[in-house]
Amino acid sequence: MTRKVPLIYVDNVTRSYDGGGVMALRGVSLGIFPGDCVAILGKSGSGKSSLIQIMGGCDTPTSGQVVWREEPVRDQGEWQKLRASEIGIIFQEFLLLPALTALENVEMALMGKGASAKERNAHATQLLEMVGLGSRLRHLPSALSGGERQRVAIARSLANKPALLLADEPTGNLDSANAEAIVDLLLDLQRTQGTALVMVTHDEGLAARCRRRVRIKDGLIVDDSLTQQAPAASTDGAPARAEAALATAAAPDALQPQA
Amino acid sequence: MNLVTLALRNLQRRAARTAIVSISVGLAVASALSLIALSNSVERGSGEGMDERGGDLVVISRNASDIFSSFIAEDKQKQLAAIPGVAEVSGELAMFAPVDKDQQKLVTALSSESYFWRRMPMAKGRAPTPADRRVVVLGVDSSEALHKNVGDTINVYDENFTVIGVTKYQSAINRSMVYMLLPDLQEIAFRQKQVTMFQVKLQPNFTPATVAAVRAEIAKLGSLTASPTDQLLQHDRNLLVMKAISQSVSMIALSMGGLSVLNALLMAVQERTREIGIMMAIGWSKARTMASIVLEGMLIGVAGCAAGIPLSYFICRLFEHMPTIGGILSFEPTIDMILPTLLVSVVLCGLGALYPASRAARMSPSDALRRP
Repeated sequence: MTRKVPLIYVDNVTRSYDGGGVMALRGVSLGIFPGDCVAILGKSGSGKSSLIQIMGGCDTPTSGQVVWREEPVRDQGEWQKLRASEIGIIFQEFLLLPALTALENVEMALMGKGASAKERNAHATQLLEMVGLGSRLRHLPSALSGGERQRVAIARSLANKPALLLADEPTGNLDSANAEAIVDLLLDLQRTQGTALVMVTHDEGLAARCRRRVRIKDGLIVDDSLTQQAPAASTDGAPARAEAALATAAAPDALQPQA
Repeated sequence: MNLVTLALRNLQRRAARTAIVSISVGLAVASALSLIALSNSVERGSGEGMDERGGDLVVISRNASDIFSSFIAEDKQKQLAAIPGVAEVSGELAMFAPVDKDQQKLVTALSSESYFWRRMPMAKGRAPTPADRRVVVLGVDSSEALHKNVGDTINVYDENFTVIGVTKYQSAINRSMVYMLLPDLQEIAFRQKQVTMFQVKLQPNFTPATVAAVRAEIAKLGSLTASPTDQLLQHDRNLLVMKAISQSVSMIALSMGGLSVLNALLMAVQERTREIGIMMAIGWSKARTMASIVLEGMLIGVAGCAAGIPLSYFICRLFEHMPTIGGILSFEPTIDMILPTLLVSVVLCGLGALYPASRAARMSPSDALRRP
């Protein structure tokens, strides 16, 4: 049987602020496998956003390390390359550039990858059509609703065809109807594109729609389990991997102490 | 979309600030260009004037720091005329002199036999003959500035002279000149038997070898040096000082333009910290993030040049209306002045943007994204 290798593995990571006065993460280990659908739950200040920031390389752990496909990520240069090619990030506040149209915001993520302006334009258009914004390409963020802005952000995060999609409270600024639609879209993309999705939320209902639930409290993972609603067996075998991850904190062989 | 579009959008978002910074860069460019045009016009104007009058070489004292401090004995003319390859020699005494009490004019005195009189293009009247005394020929601009015409009298060093002709030279320096006979100026300026320079006309179809040989022969005559007309002022100490001052002030002006770009972009980076965090979060490299900000600075430089170049032409027109210099020189920024200024300006604006850009690129994405 082929050994399952985590896409990303957070290895005993701590994160403190204010010179150690505030401990956001206290030795967290978590593995995410290709095709996983993971909800990270927790109250405000529990450390879930710190964890996802560290998983995207936007923040640096105080101690511990993050391993991408069995290779530790050493510096911001390596993280930048990962964000450019393997990791997509979606933020609660959408974080679109206000001076650029929806299309240009998505094109931004395609710049510097060797594609011509025409190719970038075509790809960005395709992504926006995929998230249902084909008729809103030339609109500035200020002319879009909250749900539409988040769709633009999702299209932007998919521009590099990521293996891992990190969503930090993607529905936090949306009404329930829009939140539902955005989660539908993310889960659909996760299923159809085989992207691993890690979604931070404090909404138990939305979390229940993910196969795996990770609960954080006071900077520690207190629960990592499969949801009741999750299919017993999926085509990619993700639930089985999640169970394994839960049992062992998903430490890949490469990271276990050598005998 | 590309980096230029992004930079333009960011500049357009803060249109008033972009306009103000571009204007300040434009003023710096205009100041620099006008100063350079001012210093170059002296050299260019003198060369044009001498070329128009048809000399090939100009002989001055070797130790003279500038053309007006050159004193040469008039009788050197015979020795110069005897050098093989020389066709004609004309001694000139040149100085700024008070004309009609309150106007300083460049007065050039030539002997009545000078070949310049024969070549002088006359708009009105005639050139002097050996029999004439106390007569002048005016350049057309002098004629207009002094409101004098053929038959009128002008006063030079408290002596009256009759205007017998008006020239139609084209170059600014010749148009503004007052020409008189050599003995008259030597007498009224107490410069008996002296000239400032000799203009040397070479034999037709001379070669560079001829020029070199004649210059070598002239050098043998003692403390004299001969230069082609376009190189006459290359070693003029006053002009060199003026050029150095102009260039220094120009660099200061352009640096201030660069500093205003630095200031504006530093503010822009502070305001757009979060946006820079977004760029990093979507995988933009430090180099690309920096390039987008440096490009903004360079675009301000280009906009500043677009405003500054026409402004420099306007300032040069103002110079031409200044009584002390306007009647003597013509000021015009030329392409060989504009291109280096444009280049320096854009580079300085880019350098001004470099510090804000590097500050932006040093931020961690999470720090940048946490900013309001």
